[in-house]
Amino acid sequence: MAVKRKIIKRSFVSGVIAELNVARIVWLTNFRAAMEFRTAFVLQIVGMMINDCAFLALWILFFQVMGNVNGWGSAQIFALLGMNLMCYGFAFGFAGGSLWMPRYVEQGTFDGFLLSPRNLYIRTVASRFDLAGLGDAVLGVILIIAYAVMTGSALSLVWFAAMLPATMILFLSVSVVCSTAAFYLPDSNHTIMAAFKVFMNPTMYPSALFPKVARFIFIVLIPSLTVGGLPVEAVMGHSLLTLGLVWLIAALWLLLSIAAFYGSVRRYESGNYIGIRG
Amino acid sequence: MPAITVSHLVKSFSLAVRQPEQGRLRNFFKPEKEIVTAVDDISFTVPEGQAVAFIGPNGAGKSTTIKMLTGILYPTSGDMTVAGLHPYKNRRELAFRIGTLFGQRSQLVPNLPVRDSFELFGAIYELSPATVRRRQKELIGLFDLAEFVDRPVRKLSLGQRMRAEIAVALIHKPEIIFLDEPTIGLDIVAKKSLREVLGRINREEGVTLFLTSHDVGDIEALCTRTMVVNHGRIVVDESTDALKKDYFAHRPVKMVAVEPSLEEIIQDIYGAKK
Repeated sequence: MAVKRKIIKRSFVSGVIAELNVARIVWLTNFRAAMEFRTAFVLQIVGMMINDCAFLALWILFFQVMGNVNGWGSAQIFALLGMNLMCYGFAFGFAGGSLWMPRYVEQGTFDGFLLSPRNLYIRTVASRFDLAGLGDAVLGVILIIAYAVMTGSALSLVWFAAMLPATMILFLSVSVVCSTAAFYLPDSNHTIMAAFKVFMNPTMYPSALFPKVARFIFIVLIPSLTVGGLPVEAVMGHSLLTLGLVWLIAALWLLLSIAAFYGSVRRYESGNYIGIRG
Repeated sequence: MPAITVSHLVKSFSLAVRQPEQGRLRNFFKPEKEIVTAVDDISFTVPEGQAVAFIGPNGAGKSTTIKMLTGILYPTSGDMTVAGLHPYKNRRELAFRIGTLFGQRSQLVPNLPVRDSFELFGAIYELSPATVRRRQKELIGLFDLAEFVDRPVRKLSLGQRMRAEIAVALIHKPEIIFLDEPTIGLDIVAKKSLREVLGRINREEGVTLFLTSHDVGDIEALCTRTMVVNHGRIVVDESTDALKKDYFAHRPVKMVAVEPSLEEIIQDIYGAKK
């Protein structure tokens, strides 16, 4: 006879740990699958690091010509890019499924997650990983260490570490909120990516360049500065208040992304996607 | 307790319909909406251990019904239970107790050997490594996977992949299996072997089968009961034997007395001799 499985009742915390453990196994499986194509694997990681270095070189040249801007110089750019690359790289290098959500919805492959006995949010977000993101993460760590060496502040490493989980959560939450549009708009992949870039592009710029109103907009409404400039400000000023603000905004966006995700899933219409060549 | 109960189930979709007489701009900014009822007030019960065919033409509402029963789609109205659970309210609990095979979808990891998919799904279904190993061994034997279980999924033939798909879908010993076109695209030998295994699981383990297929062979080989659905409504619900007698009483049979020559085969395919 077929076995009647008893579902294990868990507390919230042990439930989250169980889900993260499954996410870890999914990631390891995806990582092994990516390793099957070794050349592409190495090229993607190295290629992304070269791309990031070119961006860093441009900023260094800028500050050499223009001098410091409102207290921001080359060292702060190392910190800004380092923080950005770390949080983007670790977030999407471990859980890049949110950016695939529009494709899952469009092609009907979201069915697989609904059929899975796992937490739908975590299962979807952790379903893929961005290989190039791992290249970003490695370079990000190198830049943050370089910042600590340049400023002679080993303590700054602790500050960055304290903010990294919050900024990762923020990156993922914003990507989930953007991607839920796929449940409302057909063929919305490009629109969603464009919306996500509205958030992502300003993360690479020093917060000193943003006037007051723009600062508010880009810290709370489109929280780009919260993953980029604000953490660097917190490290520069050793500001616990700024650290708390980063975590608060991350928590609010996480709740918003969970509400948006589960509110949207009810609209999922599945489908039988067949590719047709034109 | 019945395996599946469905009561007055309805699923409607809203579709934008282009009105050619209204011009492209009006169609773009103010499209007309049409409500399409894919499943229209259906009710039925499936006892535990039964093998049921749910058949009908394309667009009849078969897949939509299966998707509601498995928790993929929310119904517009009506009620249903599967293994005593509400599919959309108890999605996760239900997923532990059902298995699904959608012939046009793959759940295996394409770049890794089939064995890795067993391990992945074992972890997803919270099975201990020892249970996964034991179950994997059973399923490899049952589905005759030994020859290719260590080969990457992307290198398997369609028949091999489908056997692997259903073996992986059974890793957690589900009570009910939903099969949507399980033999689509398979050759005769692969179809026969898949039907044999599914039949054995149904008979020996008491697993309930809920199957949609356009292949009469699947239904005859596996299902004791057949529901025919058309335009979202169940139009026939009776035993497969009775259905065969009532609707398939006359079957055209082509008999070939002797082995045809190559010339006759070509003539048969291309028509009259040139």
